[in-house]
Amino acid sequence: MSTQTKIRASRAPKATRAQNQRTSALTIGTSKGWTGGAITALILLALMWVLPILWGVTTSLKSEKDAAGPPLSAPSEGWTLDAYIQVLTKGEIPRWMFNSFFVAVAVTVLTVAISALAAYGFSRTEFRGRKWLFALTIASIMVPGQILIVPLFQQMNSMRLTDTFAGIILPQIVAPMMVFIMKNFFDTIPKELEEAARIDGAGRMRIFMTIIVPLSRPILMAVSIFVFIGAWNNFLWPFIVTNNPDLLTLPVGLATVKNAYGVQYAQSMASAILAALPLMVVFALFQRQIVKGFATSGMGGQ
Amino acid sequence: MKHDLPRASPEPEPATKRLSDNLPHSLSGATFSRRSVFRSFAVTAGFLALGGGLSACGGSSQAAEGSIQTWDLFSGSDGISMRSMIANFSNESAVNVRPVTLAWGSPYYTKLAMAASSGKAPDTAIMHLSRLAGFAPGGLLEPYDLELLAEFGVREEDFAPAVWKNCHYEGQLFAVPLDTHPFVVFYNKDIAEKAGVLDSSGAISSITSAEGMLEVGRKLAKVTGKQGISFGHVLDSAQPWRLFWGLYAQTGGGYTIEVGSPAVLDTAKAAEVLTFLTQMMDGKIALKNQTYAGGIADFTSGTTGLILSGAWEMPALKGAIPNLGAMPMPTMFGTPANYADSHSYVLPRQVSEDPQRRRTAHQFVAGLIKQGQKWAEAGHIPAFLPVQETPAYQNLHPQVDYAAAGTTPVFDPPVWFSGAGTDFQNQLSQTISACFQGTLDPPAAVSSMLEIINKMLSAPNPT
Amino acid sequence: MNTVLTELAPSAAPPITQKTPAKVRKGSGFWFVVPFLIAFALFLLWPIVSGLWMSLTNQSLTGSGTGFTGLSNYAEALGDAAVWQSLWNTAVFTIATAAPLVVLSFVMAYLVYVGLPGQWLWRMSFFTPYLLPVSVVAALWQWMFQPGFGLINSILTQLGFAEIGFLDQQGVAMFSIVLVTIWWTVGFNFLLYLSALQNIPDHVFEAAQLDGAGPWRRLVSIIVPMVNKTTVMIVMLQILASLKVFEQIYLLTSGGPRGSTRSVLEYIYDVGFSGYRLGYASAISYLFFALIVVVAVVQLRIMNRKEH
Repeated sequence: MSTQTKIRASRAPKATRAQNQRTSALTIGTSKGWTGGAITALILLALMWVLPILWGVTTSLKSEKDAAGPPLSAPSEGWTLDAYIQVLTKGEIPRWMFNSFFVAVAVTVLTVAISALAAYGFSRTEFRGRKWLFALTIASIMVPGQILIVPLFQQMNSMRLTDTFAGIILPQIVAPMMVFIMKNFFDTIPKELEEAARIDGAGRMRIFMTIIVPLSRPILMAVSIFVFIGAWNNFLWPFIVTNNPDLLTLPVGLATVKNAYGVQYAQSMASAILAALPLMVVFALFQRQIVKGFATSGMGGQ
Repeated sequence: MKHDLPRASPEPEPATKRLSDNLPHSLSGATFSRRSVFRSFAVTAGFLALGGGLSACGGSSQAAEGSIQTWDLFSGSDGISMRSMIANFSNESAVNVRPVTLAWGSPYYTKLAMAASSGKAPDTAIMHLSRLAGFAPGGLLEPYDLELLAEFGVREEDFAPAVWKNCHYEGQLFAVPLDTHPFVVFYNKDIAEKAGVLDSSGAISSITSAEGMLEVGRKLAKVTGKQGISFGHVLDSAQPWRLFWGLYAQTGGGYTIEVGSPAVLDTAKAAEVLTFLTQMMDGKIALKNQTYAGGIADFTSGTTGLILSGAWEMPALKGAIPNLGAMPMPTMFGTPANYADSHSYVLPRQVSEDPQRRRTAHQFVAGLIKQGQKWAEAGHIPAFLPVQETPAYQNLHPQVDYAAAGTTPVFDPPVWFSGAGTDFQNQLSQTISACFQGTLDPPAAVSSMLEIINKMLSAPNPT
Repeated sequence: MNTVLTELAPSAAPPITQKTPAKVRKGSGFWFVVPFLIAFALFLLWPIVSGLWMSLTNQSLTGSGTGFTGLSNYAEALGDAAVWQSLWNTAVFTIATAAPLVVLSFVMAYLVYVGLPGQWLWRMSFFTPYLLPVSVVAALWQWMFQPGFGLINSILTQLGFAEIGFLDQQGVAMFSIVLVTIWWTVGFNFLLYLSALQNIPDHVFEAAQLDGAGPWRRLVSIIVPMVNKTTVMIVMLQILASLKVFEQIYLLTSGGPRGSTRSVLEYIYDVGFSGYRLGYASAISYLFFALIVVVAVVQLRIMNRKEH
């Protein structure tokens, strides 16, 4: 969980493209057989991974009749966007998408805010019980939140928070792992950077905002990405705590609300593709930052 | 403690910006203290409150007068009929109805119980009558107001007494039945005619014993060249139980399944029924390992000439085989009896008493019950007797051909853990299905069933 | 845990001695931790405590049965065949997914790292499934596994093989769920490995080049040891993640056929919410929790031993 990336005062060194795209000559030598084998294996694996999604896409572009027909033949009624039009005009998917987006943004903002503050508190300040509280936080990384669904549901019942956005969001913002990752990062920021500001009489919060946060952009970015993906795709908790179809998030809505008009394959695939699209687009656009996020989080590295 | 003088900060900005933006150094005069920590939390709290406000717009509990939410578990042709009935009701009454369809069975009832327990339940919901014993005692439902129902034209005398009685718990009415849906026999009249099993009126009437059923099956198989009878049961959580329990009732074998005493079945008669069914599923008359969908597919493609299935499959079967015959489950073991369940409307528990919404819910239930004719098109026997007496229903074939099944209904044993979509039906179905597939012999299957039931009887009753 | 998870400290200058007396700043740092602590106490500590209490009652979803029943729920759970079956299924799932998810993700990362240009495309292919919500994954694979016109079965029948009941044959169903899980989540480990590989400094390979080490030797004696830490990390995270499986099982098979794919979490859901028995479900949760803690502690021990 440690990286060789030494965090200097400025920022993590950017791996250049050249470094990322190391020539195969360097890593596997000049063996032709190996290179050929690697390329073949790569293409085969990638095909296996892409195929289900591609098939979902092609199905969603067929008419209902063709969707239930033989899978490997060209559609008799041609390609059509019908399924997408049907799904989008029914209005549930856009609504669920908005809910997912709202929930994921709120969870991300709140999680990153409270975790960053706590990480700074644990990393840079002294107060009674700090070590003990931090140890508690670390220990709780081992607690799988999933096993708390039963008491948490009862708790939400008594707090009257079932079927509310607050009820979906709040239990998701406790992320000890993120506190831990950020504290590790803050620990690497040299103290003398703060000392200068402190001599100028700046308060802690000010130091945090003007010095620590700007220096920690890569890690804040990485943590935000992890939390956002997690919240966007979270199924179990929203599934437990919501029943009102107006409040369902996308993953839960797709899985629980059924089509009264029977199984319509093209439409169910179209809904699935629509649900998959936002994050896929985001990933395609921000691949570099996301991959870098993996590196800076200290979870990769060596 | 460091005493910074907090200054009014520039207008609060969203916390996102706070975290990612480098604050300009021109703020050097202002210092941040814990107050500003709290301020940024006030912003996020406001953000959440906005979320709460948004949820209030969509919440069922704050909806306008004259609008209700209803849940059901109907898809396919059931769903199509139900949605058009709801639309009819909305058009006539100007009540705005929000229907939600969830997955049939356990997922639906789990969600309904959770919603009712947290006071966020829909105003009305469909419930199998067989589940009432698990829902009414726990206070998850509210009783109906008979006067309100009468005001909207629904009274006790409009229902068959046997069904009406099953809608009560401790003397109060908790469910209003929409239908009875029996487990019946459909057959392909063209194949049956070729096989020579039709009587002069064009129906199969020769089955009066178990052997009679096998005989008809063999004749049909001769015509199709494959099998005679379809029955899908592999991995199905209800079909094996429905078939077995209905036929067991025909043997006259009684049962005791009550909390506080061990379960009693007439083991010899139960084994007799299972033995007959394994004879039927010999691979020639019927396949021994057919799935639900496979059974339907074989029947609609003419691979078999007869299918044992629920009345709800009628529209799909009729669509594929226009010349479709139907009849109640033939009496093969002496006593006429027909497995059935009933879809009914219940009123899940509400947290806040809203007389107007309650009234609207009663109006909705009455309005839907009266549209039994439309519901009959989906294959169900309407529970509202005035509908059954209309010429329109009397001329609805093949529905009216199995309407008699509704006069000798056999329901699940009335214990808290039985009913549609329960683990009780699921586990017993798995055992019965194992017997059909030959991994358990009939006596072993019966004792395994008793074991399952006893285990459930001894579990604490959570209702 | 710390020994494993700490960053290598940079060559920071020794901290300057504090000019202000420590007493002045004592306590002020506490406020940074407060918001997190409030959430932590409300949504993690409190449910742990209330769940523990609940497990000692026969609390029902309907609101009845809040009376104290002592350890009877725990006794019942230990004698409940379904609990053991679900534990067994969870163990099978964990072992069957963890190994391929570590090995395959490494193979993928290695291939992308040494292979073709066009990293962007390969990364996208392997990582995209990880970005899909579970309900999309379930819908896609249900569609792939369909009898009749499902993609896999129609390829099988065209090649003259019999159809396979991927989700409804005992034994096969668990295999199908494992397959889906690997497809869905391998991308995460793949990216971790990829960033680890790209952190291997060039000079290591340059030395190998001079030695004339072949591709196999480079892989075995340079690359695998260099990403050892990542491997340990991934194994640990993967085992803990696999133990908590619920969603794909719930959506694909609901635990069937005959309970053969029912995981512990699914059983907790079935008992607590479908069966109303919140108290009993809590007791099972705590037994499972204890098991997870044991697994985690054992892992940490093993890892720390490796460290030293």
